[in-house]
Amino acid sequence: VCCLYDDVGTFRRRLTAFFAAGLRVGCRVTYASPGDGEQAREALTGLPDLDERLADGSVRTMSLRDVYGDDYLVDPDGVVGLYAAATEQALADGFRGLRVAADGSELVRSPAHLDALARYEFLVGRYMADHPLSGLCGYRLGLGHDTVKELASLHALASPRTAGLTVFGCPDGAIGLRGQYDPASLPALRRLLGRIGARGEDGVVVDLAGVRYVDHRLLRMLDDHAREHGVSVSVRSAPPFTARLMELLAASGGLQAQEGGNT
Amino acid sequence: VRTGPPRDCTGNFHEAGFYTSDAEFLAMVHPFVTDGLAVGEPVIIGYDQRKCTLLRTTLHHPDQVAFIGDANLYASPARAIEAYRQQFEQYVAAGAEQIRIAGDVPHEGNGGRFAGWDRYESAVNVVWQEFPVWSRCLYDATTVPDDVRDVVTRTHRRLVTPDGGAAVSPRYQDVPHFEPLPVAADPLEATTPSVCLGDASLARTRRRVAEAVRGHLEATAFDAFVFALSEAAINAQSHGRPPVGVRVWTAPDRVVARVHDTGPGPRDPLTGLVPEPEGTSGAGLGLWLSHQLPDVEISLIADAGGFTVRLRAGSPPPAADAAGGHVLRAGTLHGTPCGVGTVHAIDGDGSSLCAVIDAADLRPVDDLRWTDVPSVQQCSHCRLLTGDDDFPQH
Repeated sequence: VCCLYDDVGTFRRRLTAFFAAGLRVGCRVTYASPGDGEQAREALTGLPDLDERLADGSVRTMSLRDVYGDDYLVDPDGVVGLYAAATEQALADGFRGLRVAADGSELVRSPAHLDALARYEFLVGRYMADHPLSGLCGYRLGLGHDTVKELASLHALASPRTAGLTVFGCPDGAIGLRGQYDPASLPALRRLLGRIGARGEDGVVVDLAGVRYVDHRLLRMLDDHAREHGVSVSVRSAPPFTARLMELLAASGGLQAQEGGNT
Repeated sequence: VRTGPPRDCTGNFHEAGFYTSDAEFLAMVHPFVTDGLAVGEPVIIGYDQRKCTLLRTTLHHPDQVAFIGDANLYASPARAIEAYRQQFEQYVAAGAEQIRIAGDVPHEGNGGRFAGWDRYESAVNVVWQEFPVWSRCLYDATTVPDDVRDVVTRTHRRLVTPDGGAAVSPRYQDVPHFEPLPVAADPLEATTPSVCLGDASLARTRRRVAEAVRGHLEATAFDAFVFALSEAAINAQSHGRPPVGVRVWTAPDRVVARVHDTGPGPRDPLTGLVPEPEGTSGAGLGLWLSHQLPDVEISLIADAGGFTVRLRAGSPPPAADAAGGHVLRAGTLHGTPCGVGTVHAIDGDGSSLCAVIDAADLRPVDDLRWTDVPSVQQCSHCRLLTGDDDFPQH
């Protein structure tokens, strides 16, 4: 879940609601705070019985640095491993799962930071898809329209809702797209594909099962991505009309890289 | 080196002729074919089965001619331009110095629909400029409608005659100055639209149109229609002038839509007929892709009110002369616009089927079939009497 906010109070309210709902269903909740323990506690004051919860381990806090490193340059696989271990621990401690929350705005410091963060969001989303872990990420709208749009599209849910497709990792490694297709969001999507490292040696598979409508702009964007990174891109589970479009585009020279395998 | 009259020309040497008998047809096509074959030029023939057979029997080596009986080639004007272009490319790559083609496009006189082919006949004067093509379009003068004949003389620089003569067509219009035929309103447009949107977002437009059209078209036509409508809306929003209006009319097995903006429309007369893959917005390409889809008929209409893309899909509209036959026509009292429950089925004797309205007061709605009228607009008494399976009897 992604919360884009102007006023940090908005994020706090979402945080409280997200955690309260998690506690009600028997999950452990963990907040990664940009400040010290006292500041973390202050952010959570809206939770009922906070002191007891902190004492019995159902509410935990940690520092953003503990999770994401001193320089805030996220190690995508490392952090996913850390959250996976915390999820296992929560289950071992008798909880039904783990909810984590963090305000990620501080992690966006340079293009390299954003690349790493986007890759991490993509990977952790894939982990969450089949494990009892869920997360709330806050991002300040002041980070810029393009940046928050990209980050929001890596979350299954975002508020306020942003137009365009969301990007998620399929269990088999494919990149899934889902939601309402909007041609205006293609530049953001293209940047995102670059950031999340959609350039595997075996080629990239894009799963369009969650997309109802596809046009030639999306197919050409994938084609451009394939050429730029020298990878083969194939789409699967696409709406039936996609095959007709690809045939027409290929015949007219509108698609240059090899693309296909619509299964 | 090109042979025959086009010897000093580049691009498509585009001529037409009219025949009134098989003999005249053969007089114009036979030497055209055999002269080409004699010098090794590829010859492509695109006529109906009967005329292809007629020609074939007169040739010593009919196997050297590419007969395209494939109706798919002429499925849409833009598709024909593209399919021919691909063929020309292959012939030229194989060393052809001239390619001869002869054929006729669909029109009401040969069982087809001419809508859109006026633009094709004009466009082919320039779209194959890089290929040494000699095209001879022969029309049956006994069946060709007047407006088609008019277009033929305005889109071919040269007119040939069965006696071997040829003359410059005095009425020829260069491509930028070609005046397309006026686009006749579809009868369905006289009914109340199922969808009427003003400046709606793309997502909303697509959703509303898909909801309205689903169930009226089979799956592939549905996809093609939603795509073409979406592209028309994107073009109107990004190149047209607001407000952008979208209206959709539906009948049981066909749909009509108009996407309108108040701008002048694209200046290029070839818009949609040739691809523009270099365009950054992909808009020109989108319109071209729409034109490639045989399931959707597209008309571009520029007039004083602005620019309109009209789309039609599904079964063809009822022919004007079908009315009065076994198909019931539709009409309203004193010719008032169609509204909820106000449209009556017109009987064979010109009166209302339900006999509630006096025959003299009922005016037919332009060539509209009773079954094309949305059920909410149909007079409930007439509905009762027609007892159509679609409408439960009370």
